[in-house]
Amino acid sequence: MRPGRKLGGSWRPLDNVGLVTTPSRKTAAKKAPSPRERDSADPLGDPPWARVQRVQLIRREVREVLSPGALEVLFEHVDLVVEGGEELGGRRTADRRFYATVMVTIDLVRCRSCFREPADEATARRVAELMEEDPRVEQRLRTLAGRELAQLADTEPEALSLVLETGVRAAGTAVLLDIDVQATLANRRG
Amino acid sequence: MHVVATNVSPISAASDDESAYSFREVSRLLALPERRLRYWSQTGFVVPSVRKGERRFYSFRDLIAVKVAKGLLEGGLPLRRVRRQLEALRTTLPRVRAPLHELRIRCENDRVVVDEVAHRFEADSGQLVLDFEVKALREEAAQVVSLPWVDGDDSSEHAPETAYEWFSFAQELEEEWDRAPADTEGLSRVRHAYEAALELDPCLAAAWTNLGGLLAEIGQIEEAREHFEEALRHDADQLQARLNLAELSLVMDRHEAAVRGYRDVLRRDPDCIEGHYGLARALLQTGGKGEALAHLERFRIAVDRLPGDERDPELQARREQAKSVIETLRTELGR
Repeated sequence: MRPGRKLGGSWRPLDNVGLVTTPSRKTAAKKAPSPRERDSADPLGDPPWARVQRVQLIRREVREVLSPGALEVLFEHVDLVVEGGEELGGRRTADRRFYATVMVTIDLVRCRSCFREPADEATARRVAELMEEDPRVEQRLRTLAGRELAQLADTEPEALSLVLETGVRAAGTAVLLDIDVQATLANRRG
Repeated sequence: MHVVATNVSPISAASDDESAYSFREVSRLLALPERRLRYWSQTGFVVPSVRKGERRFYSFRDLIAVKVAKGLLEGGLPLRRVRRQLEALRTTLPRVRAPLHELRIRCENDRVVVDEVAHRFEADSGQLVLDFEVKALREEAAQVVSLPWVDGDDSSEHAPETAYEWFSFAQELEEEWDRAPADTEGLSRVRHAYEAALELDPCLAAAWTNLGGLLAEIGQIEEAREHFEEALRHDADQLQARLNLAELSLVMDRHEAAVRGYRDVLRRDPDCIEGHYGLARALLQTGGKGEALAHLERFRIAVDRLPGDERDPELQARREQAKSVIETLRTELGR
């Protein structure tokens, strides 16, 4: 146990949790001599400095990915908002162009019964990170955006050539995917 | 060959067995090389039974076993038979009526005899070298434990030679030092031992990390940072150094860097208890209360899942603190 640490801490008012001042280590860093003279106002004590007890012979590497079923579950619970339309003057050009922003919201709370992890902000953030680097997500978003743009263009998705720019982030327990899409429809003449 | 306990009863003498002795102390007490003790421990011959965090210590009962083992081996008994004796001794000792300090252990030709001092056998025929009163051993142990540490007082057989031996030695010294603020001598001994390890093997990342922790402990933050970074230069995946760097960022009010550091730790090991704890603390500094709450909950659950002997009082205390903050945050966030 880190000596000098005052355990238990003092009561802090509810609105004060975010204003925690860093404890004794900070004091120690600035004026030494010992980080053990801690400020007991911090409700969460300093952890001990991490030490290596024994050298590891075999190190495990943990790789996190979205499970195969995860995307099914997540995309079954999407809220979709599409804003966009045809490029001004597009009808007079050979290639008509459409622009849209497709906003996809997946609130983990709504599908919490489908997965094991807690539907909280930490999970949402991690899911967002994993979605960002997952090519399957890119493919699904392309399909989804193509379908929406095809409705705008009153055509089949296969007739559109798509350029996507995707952003993924988390807000609270929701994963937000913003897709800027540019679709080109080659005019079929004759 | 068998073990005999005179005046046996089912009463345990547990109250006699609360002491804990390090490898080094047992080595000094019984004049056995530490290396041999560690070998005995690793091979399960005589294993220290007291666990304090990651480290093991000998109970007084273990001490008796070591002394018996040493005596029997010196008496020329083959290892296999000594092992059998020790096993018998382990089952017999707890059933002896008298407190441990009143016992006497001796070895006859083909058996170890445990008896009470008050009912000492007179028939000493054929006794081997092993013949000691446990009370005397306890007093001796107390003296050895209180002996000051003197540079170079160990025999060459005890002195660490390789980098890793110095590293292990430094850890033992660190445990003995126990971060006692006034014990600057103890601190410099630990530091010296880690530096000796690094002199022999500058690539020993573990030693860089632990020495860095020592420096951080005494407020030498920049030096500590250099040590952690050096550790990562030699072992880029070492989690402890990454945790410490993230913690240093927190100490230095670099909250965003701390958040990034802890996130990196959790990407490498999503179950890292200290990663969740540290990230929660860093997020509380940056206003991310909702996510901090989630990580504190993960920390608390992970601590609860630890086996009892891995949940030391310090960790348990932080778990209680986390629980209290979780309740506060839940109320505040309306969850």
